[in-house]
Amino acid sequence: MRFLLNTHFHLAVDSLRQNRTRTFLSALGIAIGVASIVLILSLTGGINQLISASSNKDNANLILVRPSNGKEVTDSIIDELTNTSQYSKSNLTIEDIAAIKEVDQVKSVAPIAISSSAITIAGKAYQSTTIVATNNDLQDILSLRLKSGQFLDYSLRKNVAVLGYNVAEQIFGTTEATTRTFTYNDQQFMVVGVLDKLEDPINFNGVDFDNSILINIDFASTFESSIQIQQIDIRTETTDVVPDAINAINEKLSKAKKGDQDYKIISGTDNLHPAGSLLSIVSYMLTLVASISLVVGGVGIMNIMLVSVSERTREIGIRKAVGASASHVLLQFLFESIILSVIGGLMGFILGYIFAFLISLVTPFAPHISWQILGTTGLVSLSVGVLFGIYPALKAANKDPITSLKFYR
Amino acid sequence: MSSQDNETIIELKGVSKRYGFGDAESYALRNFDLTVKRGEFIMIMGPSGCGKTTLLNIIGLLDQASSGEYYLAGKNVARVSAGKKARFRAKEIGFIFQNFNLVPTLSILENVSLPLIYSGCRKSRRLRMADNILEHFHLREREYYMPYQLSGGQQQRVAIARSLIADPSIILADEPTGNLDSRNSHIIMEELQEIHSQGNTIIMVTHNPALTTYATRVINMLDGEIDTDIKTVDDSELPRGGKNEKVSVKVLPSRDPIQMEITSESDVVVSGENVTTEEAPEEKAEEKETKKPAVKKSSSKKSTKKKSTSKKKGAKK
Repeated sequence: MRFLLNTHFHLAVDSLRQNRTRTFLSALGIAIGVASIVLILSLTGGINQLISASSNKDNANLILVRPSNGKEVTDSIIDELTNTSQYSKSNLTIEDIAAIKEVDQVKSVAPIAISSSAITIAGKAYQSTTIVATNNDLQDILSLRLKSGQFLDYSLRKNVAVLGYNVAEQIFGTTEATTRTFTYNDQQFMVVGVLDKLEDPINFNGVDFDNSILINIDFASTFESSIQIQQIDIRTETTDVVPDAINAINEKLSKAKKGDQDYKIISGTDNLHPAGSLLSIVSYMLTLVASISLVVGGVGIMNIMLVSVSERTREIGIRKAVGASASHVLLQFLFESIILSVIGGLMGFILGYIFAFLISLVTPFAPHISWQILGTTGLVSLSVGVLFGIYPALKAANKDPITSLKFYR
Repeated sequence: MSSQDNETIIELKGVSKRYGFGDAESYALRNFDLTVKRGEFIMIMGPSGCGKTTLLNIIGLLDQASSGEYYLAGKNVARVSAGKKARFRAKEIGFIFQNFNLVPTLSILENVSLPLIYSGCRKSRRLRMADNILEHFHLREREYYMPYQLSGGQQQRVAIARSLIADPSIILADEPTGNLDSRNSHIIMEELQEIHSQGNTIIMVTHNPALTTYATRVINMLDGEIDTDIKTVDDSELPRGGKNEKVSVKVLPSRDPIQMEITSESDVVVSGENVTTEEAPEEKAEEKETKKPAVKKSSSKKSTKKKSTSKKKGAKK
């Protein structure tokens, strides 16, 4: 059997060689389809890598608590897209933070509560800043580095703020902005520190700390009636205790909330960034669209194989007369279409990466190279070859030798 | 009939082949009975449309009878699967056609080795065997030619080489000389004669009554039935050997086809050993002329041959 497969392979290669232009053109159809899939997969892979490189850095001992309405992931993504006031539904409270702090394995806990009302400095309003109410632990959890000054310290003074790098530059024109003051919600705040510029602006908090102002949540809760906590960041002592910690936190929270499952706990290696799942859905959609061109390429192969079969009717008749069985003829033609589409697949793989590298020259992310993409393209082109080659091959195999031998062209 | 008789290889019992239904119904074969013994050289003659080719196709397992029984080497063919039939065609049956039927995209060497693919031969062995048999047919220096670069007679010799390569027990020839001039016809007939003398069974369809001298049995058909059936050689005198005696073609003495000129039918020497006849001088000159380009080309390699022979005029298809 192995011998026969080998023979059919050589037969197919020989006959493809005799029609080089035709072979190239029909393989090109597949190549374009595969190239677009490779392009999409490698670029979205690159983006994903960029995100996870920034958000999964030392995140093995990280646990996040997010508000949840118990819906499926896809539903909540649709919510994200359609409902702008998603954050206002949060049921997490400052009491929850205190409860989580009681868990033994937990090292530090920091809430993230975002609001974006204007701040005023000397009568002038600045609209586009994000106010993040949090606590002192955030510096430890996110390993934030300070450009100048110190981080929030509630015990020292209540109405203090730490500015993001860009905010400091925009509002005060300098990163040396300590002791400057601003007004927010009729409260006077003093800047005690400025953050260093972040290396990775994308993180699991969904907050760009370069463009935000950090204030104490305990103080914010005194003047803001209903503070909305979007997320609670937790770090455990070691990575080993993460599962135990999650169980303990879950217990504490469900006790505090009297059994309401209106939160979810995400940990470590999970996709921590809210954009991650959305991105993967978009990439699947794009791949689906790209596979339409693969179908077009497949139809091209089928077309060319049908032409080839009818052109070689006589040859089929001769082969059958000298002893080829139907399965011999079937395999010969099936191999041809498979080789065609695999050649196309390889061409497309290379072509796709060339495009991806060209695009990466003007974008910040490098194309993602993995054996999964190679495997996918290999498998896809193989199945296209079989799928679109089987009908012409069956047609060839079922030809009657007598009428085939009488066939003139 | 002595016990020395060769065994029966083909037996048709009341075989009919019907085309169409109802009013359009017609018979290509009608209640056909035929018994063929190993070593027979049968000529089938008859007007066009009397079912000769259909008979050959049924014997060659390309076609199926509408009714009746066909025993091939003692086996009822009706119970044999399509795959087994194909294997039998590859190993036991050699086909020769009127229009040669070489695969136009394959070289002569590959064309000849074609049946061996399907009887499971490795490529190197396949090509070596094809090379050997082509040497016997004096076509070795053209084995990398494409079919269209050969003359009709040469193409038919290639086709005969192909039919013989798997060492079949039956050779079926459907008007092998139909497209050839009389000179080439006689060369072809000489080849077949020699194959037959080695003990092979040949069934041949022809329209040319002059060729019946080669046969051991002549069957005239009319409207799908046997009209006359004449045996010119007694069963006990049929040649032995062939497949079972392992006489392969490559050990046969080589003969130059140029010397195989037949001046009259009575001159034919059946033994096949060194047919010596007078050579017509003008024909020898002609042969030299056609041979010239071949000598020149055979020294060059495969790729250059393809280019140079596009000028060649004798390409018949």
